[in-house]
Amino acid sequence: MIFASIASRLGRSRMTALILFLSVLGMIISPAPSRAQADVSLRDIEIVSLFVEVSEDDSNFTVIDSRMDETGTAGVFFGVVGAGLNSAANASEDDKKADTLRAAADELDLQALLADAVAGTIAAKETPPLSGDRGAASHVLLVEIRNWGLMRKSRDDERMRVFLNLTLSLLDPKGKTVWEKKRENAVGADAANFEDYDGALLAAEMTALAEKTGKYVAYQIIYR
Amino acid sequence: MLRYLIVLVIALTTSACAYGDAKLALSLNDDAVKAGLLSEAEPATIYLADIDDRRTEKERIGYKRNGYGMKTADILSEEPVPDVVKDALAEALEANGHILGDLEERYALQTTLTNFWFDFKTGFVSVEFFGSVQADLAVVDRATGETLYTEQFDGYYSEKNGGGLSGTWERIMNLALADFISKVNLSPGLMEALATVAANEAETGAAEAEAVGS
Repeated sequence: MIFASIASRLGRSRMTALILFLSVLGMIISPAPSRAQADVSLRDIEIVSLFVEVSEDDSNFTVIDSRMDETGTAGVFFGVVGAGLNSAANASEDDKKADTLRAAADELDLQALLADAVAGTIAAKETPPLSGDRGAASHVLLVEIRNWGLMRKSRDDERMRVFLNLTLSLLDPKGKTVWEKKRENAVGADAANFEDYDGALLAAEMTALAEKTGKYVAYQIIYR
Repeated sequence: MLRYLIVLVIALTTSACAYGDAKLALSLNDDAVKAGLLSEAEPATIYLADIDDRRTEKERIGYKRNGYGMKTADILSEEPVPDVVKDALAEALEANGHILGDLEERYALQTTLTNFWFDFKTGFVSVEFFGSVQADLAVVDRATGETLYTEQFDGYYSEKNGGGLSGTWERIMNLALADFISKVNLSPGLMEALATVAANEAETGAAEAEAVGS
C-alpha cells in the first residue's frame, strides 16, 4: 500500500531510478563478514586454553531431494538451504520425507556426539589445553549445528547420503569473534535410496559423520 | 533522458564482461601448505598417479550468467584442472614429510576427481559465491592390486558479499581447493594408510639389506 502510494507520487521513471539507486547503495554498504573473518588465519591466534561449546539452538533436520533439482550442484545447495529460495512445492515434498524420519532424528544427540569428538580429540593431543571453565579459558570454540539430515548425492544421482552443516567460531574472553568459518560442510561416505533409510541407518550414518566431523574440527585447531 | 540513462546503467551493470570467457589462475594458497595429521606417519614413499578426471563438465569450471541466470560464457582454469589438483596434493604430501616416488614405486596414491566447480546465486543486493572440489583418494599396493585405503574428500567454500568478478571467483575457488587439501591433510584414515606404507617399505628395505648382507 505504502509502496503503491510512493510509486504513484513519484511516477514510473523516478520510481525506477529510486529502486536502481537503492540497489547500488545496498551493494556498496552490504557487509562482507565472511571475507573479513576469512582473512584472519587460525595460526595467528595464540590459544592458551580452550573451552569447547556445541550449540544446537539453530539446528534443523531436513531432507533435500526434490529441492536438489533447483540447482546444478550440491555446492550451491549448501548455500541455498534455509535461504528461502526454494519453491514451496519442492520444499513441501522434502518436508514430508523428513517427517518420516523426524522421530529418529529427534532421538539423535548430535550435540553430545560432536562435543565428545571435538573435546576428546583435543584432550588426547593436549594441544591446546582444554579448560572446563568457560570464564577462565583464553578462547571459546563455538560449534553451531545448522542444517543436517539427508541430501541427494547430486542432481543426476538420486541416492541419498547424510550431511552436516556447521558454523565454527573462535571467541576471545570478551566474547568477540576472532575467527569464523561458516558452512563447515560434511557429507557421509555411503549413499542409499531414500526408501532404505530407517531410523537405525540414519542414526548409524549420522553418528559416524558427527564423530568424523568433530575430529576434523579438532584437528583444524590442533594443526592450525 | 533519465530513462535512457537508467537503461544504459542497467545494461552495463548486468551484462558487462558477461560474454567473454574468464580464465582463473588456480593454485594452493601458501598458508594451506603446512604439516597436518599426515605428518604423524613415518615418511612414506608414494607414487602420485595422474588424476583420473571423472567430472561431468571437463571443459569448464563454471558459467558466467547474466542478470536472468542464463549462461553467457565459460569460467575456465588457466592450468588443466587435474594438474592443479595433482600439484596441490603433491605440495600437501611433501609438507607432511612424505616422498613422491617414481613410476616404479610399489605404492601409489590414486585420485578420482568428480567435481571442481564454481557457481553463484544472485540476490537483491548481494551475491553468494560457491566453490566445490570433490575427489576420491585411494592408497593402492600396485604389487598386489590391493586398495589399502579409500576416502571421499569434499572441499567447499562459500562467501556472500556485494559482488565480485574474476579476482573474487579465483579466490573462492582457491579457498575451496585449500579446504579440500585441509581435509586430506587432517584425515586419520589416510594418515594410518601412509603409516602402513612406511612400515611395509621399512620391512622390505630391511629384508633386502639382509639379503645383500648374506
